[in-house]
Amino acid sequence: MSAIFKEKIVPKLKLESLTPSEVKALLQVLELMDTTDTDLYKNAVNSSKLNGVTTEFTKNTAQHVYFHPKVFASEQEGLELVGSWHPLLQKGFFPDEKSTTKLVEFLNFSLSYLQTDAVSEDLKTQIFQVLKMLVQSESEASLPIVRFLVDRIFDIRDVLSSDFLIQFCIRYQILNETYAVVNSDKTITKFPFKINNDFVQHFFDNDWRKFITQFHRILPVGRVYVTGAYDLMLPWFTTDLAAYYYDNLEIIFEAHKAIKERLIFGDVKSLELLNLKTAEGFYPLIAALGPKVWDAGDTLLFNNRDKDIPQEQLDVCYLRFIDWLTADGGSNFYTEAFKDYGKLIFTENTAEALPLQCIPFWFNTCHPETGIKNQTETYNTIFSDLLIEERQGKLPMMRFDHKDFQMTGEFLIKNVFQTKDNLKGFLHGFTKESIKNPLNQFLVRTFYDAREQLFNLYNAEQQEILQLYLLEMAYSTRDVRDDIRKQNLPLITKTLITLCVEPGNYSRVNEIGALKSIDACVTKICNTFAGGHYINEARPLELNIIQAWFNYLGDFYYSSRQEAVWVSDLLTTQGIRTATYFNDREDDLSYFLDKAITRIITFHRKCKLKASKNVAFGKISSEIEVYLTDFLGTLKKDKLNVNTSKYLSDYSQSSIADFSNQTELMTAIEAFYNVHFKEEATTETPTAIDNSQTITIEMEVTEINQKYVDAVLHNLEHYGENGNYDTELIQPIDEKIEEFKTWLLDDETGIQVRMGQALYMTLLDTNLAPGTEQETYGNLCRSLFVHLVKGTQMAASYGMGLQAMAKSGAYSEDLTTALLQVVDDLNA
Amino acid sequence: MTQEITPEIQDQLNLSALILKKNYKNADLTSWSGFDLENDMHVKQAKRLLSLFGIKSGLHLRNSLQRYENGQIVSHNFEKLASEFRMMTSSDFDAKYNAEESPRTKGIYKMVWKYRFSLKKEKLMGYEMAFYIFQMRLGHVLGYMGTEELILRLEEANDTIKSTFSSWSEFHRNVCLGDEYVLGATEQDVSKFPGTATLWECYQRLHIEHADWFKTWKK
Repeated sequence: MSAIFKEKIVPKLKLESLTPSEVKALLQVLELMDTTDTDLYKNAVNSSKLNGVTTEFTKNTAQHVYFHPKVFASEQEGLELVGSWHPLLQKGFFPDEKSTTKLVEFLNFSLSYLQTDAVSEDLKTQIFQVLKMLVQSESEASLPIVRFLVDRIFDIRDVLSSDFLIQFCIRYQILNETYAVVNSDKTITKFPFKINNDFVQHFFDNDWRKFITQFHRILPVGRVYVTGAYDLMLPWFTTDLAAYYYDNLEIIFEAHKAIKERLIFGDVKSLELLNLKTAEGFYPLIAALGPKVWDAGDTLLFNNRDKDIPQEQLDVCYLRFIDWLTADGGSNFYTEAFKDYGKLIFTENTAEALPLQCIPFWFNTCHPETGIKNQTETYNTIFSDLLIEERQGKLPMMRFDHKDFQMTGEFLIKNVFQTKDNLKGFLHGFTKESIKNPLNQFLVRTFYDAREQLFNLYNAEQQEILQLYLLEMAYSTRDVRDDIRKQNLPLITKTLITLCVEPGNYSRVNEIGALKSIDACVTKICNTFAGGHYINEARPLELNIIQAWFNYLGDFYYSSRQEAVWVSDLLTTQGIRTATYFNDREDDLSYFLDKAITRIITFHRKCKLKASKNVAFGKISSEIEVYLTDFLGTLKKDKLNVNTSKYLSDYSQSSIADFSNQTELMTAIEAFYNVHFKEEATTETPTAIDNSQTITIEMEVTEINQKYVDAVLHNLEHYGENGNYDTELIQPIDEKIEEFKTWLLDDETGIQVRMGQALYMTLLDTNLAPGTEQETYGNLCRSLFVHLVKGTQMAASYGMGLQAMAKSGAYSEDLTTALLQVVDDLNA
Repeated sequence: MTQEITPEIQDQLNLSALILKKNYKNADLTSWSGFDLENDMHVKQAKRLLSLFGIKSGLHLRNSLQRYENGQIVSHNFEKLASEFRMMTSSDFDAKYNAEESPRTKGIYKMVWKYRFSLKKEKLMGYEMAFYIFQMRLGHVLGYMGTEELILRLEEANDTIKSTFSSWSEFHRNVCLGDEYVLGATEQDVSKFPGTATLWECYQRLHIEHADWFKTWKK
């Protein structure tokens, strides 16, 4: 190793000019360099002058050892010489300033040669170990050597040399620990390799701008998949560098550009630089994505952001991202940058980190009518994962105005959708889509969240539109996956229930109540809702509600208590209330009551008859009994007409009714019956028909009067029902036909027409045909009909009708003959 | 739970056979609904019909049934017109008939005039009850009504029909009339779209197995 030293340097050493202590140092050098067999050494070591002298390695000595320009003239020799210094440096004998300057000159000069194969790997290793020791030495040599390295590394005009140095510096960790600077007072300060003011002062003329420019310039340079300048400098990054960026926005943009280029050319991400943090915890390079218009590269950079960056620094960036997605009609969607990186910004995020502005963006892009078809599916998936899934119907928290913001339906309706004046137009496009569309699912959540406020947000007409929209959505849940249905249907139903509070709109109430057919998950709320509307004690009772009650009694019965379940409540709680309602009404409602009671009893009978088949029927009949007891017990006893009272009384005594244990109910029914039948006084005036029904004709007919005619008419119209073929009643009128006709002239109530009609029907009644039991009654009617109709306007048309009937073939021969006879008589 | 169709129930179901066949040519008269629940095309057809009738749920179905049962679909209108006509002379009627312009209404007038007396009691109840049964069966396809309720209602519909009409043909004449009242006169028309049949045509083609079950009328 020391051959070159022995050959070239030793002969040149002149001990004469040196002090004894310097000589002693030189002798040590010779020992270290393993050249003790030279004459020079032998002479000197034998000299007695050195006894007791301390060793001193002075500048003079250093130059003797290190300053040899002539040797440096040959690259190979020079390099070998440098390589041989290792033992000296280890001992602490460092070159002085003059020698170092020469060395740097030589290194610059021989750098190209050093890279060639002519220099053995061993020698290269030695040289860089020497350089490392020099850099780390606390001597005048340190700074110039570091400067040399830094200069040449940053000099990308000679990119090969730069890379060569970088590789060796990294391999031997030369620029890693510290370097030393000799101050003017000869003291020495050590500095770490960190980018800060000292660093810039030592290597870049105290010019940050110059450093940054060179720094950015070198970033993209280098070979692919091999460590480069970035890796070398990685340990140098400091908060000072971050602070410098923080103060210079334009420079950050340059940095972005450099990082993007590095990404493009080197396929490396430069994460540490991108996520550089100031001492205050600010990430200037990421935050600076906020104030600029993005391109695809920025999307990429942003996707590489550190996950620990505080949310406030990111808010604006997300907005820029959305701007980028919206720009140029959304064409950035189709870029690689979006597919590979942009999408991740959404999918690897949570709604809590994203800005509220995502929602208008989503709705605009995926709108069923005005959106961008090709993008809908992707965004719908992204946003339904972010905003809908796993949220149990709640609206998510998002970022708005640099704060965490709990979205509310009200806020969305007012500020995002802005549908106050145009709800119909807004919903139009969505109504056609089913609940399958995530936008509709989100809208449903919005309305659900705002449900109490909807009354303030929309006028009545709009609320109606909203209800129709929600109903449409509800029915569309039939055709979607189970989980979507089970999530959305309850929300829709609850919103509808909130909206539908106005009394009176029973078709809407029914429609909402009917949603339970769609899925069992809403059965309960639907039933409660329908019950709440039909039985609402806070609202005045009305006839149509009571009518509806008894209509639903049918559904309740047929479905074995599965449908219209509120009827059960109705029967057990509303009896007294119903009765009070009728008691307070002054007009005659006996007809209505008759219908109602008949219907209730009909179902009671049905239940009793079927009681053995299904326990539900037994339950219904006992509930009906509760109702009847309450109702009839409270109802004023003059409210029912005679028929109803009789009907009730008859039924109550039948074995089917089985009221024997219902003493209270029986008493009430009896009381109604007694009003009409036990007491003489019939104060109330039932309708004419009812009155005439009760007439028992045993009177001696002496003259034609109203009462008698009514009785006849009633018999003619009703004989079929009660089987009362009262020939004796009708006989007198046939006898006194002329008197009757005269009487009719004064009649203004249309008795003649009614009578004609009733008689006409008897003609066609096969039960009255000749040859039957009731022939007499029939003959009487035929005769009366001819007398009454003949010569009137109606005669011709009745005649034609009868003729047609006779020829229809529907009647027996006897009756046909009789009919034709009547026709003949009429025409005679 | 689907119950077995006893001969008695089949008899009751058959009361809607004509209407069912008219609305769905491939209907299987011997099943609960007439539709094959396993066959998507069948179910789709049933859905189409239900939405045509505006039936979206069990509640809609039951409301509709009630309207048929109460005669609100045709009988009330028929009776109103018939009672008016019963009071009219033939010349009054001619005047009213000629004054009417719509051929549809004219057809109805003509029909009601013809039957103003003979259908005083029955009105068009036969048609309505047949439809009542048909709609229940249709609703069964989508599960709006279970077989138990179906049985319960069928039984009563059967009672109503058989206590009103005295024979299979009398009942069906009423069904045809009701259909004509609702849809207008349906004379055979070869120019119309193939595959659509008038109710009368359906009636002619209707083949009911064990037709002897219908002998027990007028209970």
